[in-house]
Amino acid sequence: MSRSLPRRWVSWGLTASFFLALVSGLIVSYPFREEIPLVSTVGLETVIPFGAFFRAFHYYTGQLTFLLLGWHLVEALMVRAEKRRSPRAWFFLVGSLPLVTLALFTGYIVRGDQTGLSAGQIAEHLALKLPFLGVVVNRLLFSISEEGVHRAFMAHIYLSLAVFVLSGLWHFRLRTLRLDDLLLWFLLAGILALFWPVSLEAESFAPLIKGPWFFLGVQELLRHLPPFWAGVVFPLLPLLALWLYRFCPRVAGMVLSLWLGIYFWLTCVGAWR
Amino acid sequence: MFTRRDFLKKLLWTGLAGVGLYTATRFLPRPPRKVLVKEQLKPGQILIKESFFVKMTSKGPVALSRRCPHLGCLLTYASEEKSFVCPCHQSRFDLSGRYLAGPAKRDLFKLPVKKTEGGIIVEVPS
Repeated sequence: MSRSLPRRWVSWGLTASFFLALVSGLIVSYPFREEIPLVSTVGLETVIPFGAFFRAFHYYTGQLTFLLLGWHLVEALMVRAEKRRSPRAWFFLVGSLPLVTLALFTGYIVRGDQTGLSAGQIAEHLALKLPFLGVVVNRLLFSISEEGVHRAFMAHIYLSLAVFVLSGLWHFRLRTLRLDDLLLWFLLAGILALFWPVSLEAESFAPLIKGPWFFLGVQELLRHLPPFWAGVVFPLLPLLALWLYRFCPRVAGMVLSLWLGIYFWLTCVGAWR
Repeated sequence: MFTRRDFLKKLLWTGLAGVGLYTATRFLPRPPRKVLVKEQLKPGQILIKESFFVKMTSKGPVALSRRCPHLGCLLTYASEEKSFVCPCHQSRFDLSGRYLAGPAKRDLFKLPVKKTEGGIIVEVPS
């Protein structure tokens, strides 16, 4: 029998992970100091009880949110969920994807380690390549060279809260999240956090720095294409295809599949370096 | 009569004007930051600071920005190759800042330097 809705456990897994990421974010952001990001990230382990666990837990719940969102999206496309949404609703739902990605990305920047700061500097320069809005977008989200991690930290908190609250009001009902779902995803992220601690890289003179895993494809493409095409146009293609999926699913689906194939290949090349 | 609606309108416009003014001031060019380098350098020696390299040449000190002209990553010094390398996208530059390879396609930015009694003053753009 064909399904008409995305799988329940994926949808609620996504909600539970996102909720847990927000709660753990409250704990780890409390002792965080923007002027010394790396020191205070490392210092979490001594300032708050089980600090290392909470930092890793926050990291894994964020990763789970991102991965489950991708899965949820694929399932939504497979059951043609866009047909049940108005064009405006579909536009806003798709728009939440880059916001979640940005929330995850800014989370890497605020750690203040070499990977995070380099990713932030690249993002700052890419934002400035945006036509007309570049300076404003950079001021809102990054501005690393002038304000350190301040903007990224604010964006991380505000974007996460905004996406969660708005989609909680409109796309799902948080109060219907079951306790057993919450417990299951808490245990999964907790086990990951206990057995696989999240490393940080202090500033070094390493000849190669790799960005966050989901950014490796863009990082690799930036070696071969001008920043505007590799860092602005290429990442915006799937967003455009998803918006148009409602109107021409065949072409948009082909563009999406091709984009995903290319991005996967670029990520593999970037990871192999 | 000055109604509540008038007051709210005035408040909104004042707020918008304030935000606009604040934003405009953020776009104004800022004076460069002056950094004093106290270290005594021998000819050929390279000093790596937070945002620039200083190299002593026969003509005097030369300061090069550590920001990669491609996407602004902080360059590192590759001692085996005697070159500056961008760790993000592998652009390479020789010790005079000249572009060698990679996606940057241009030379490193030279920073103004001034010799004083206390050391070298390097002007770093804000």
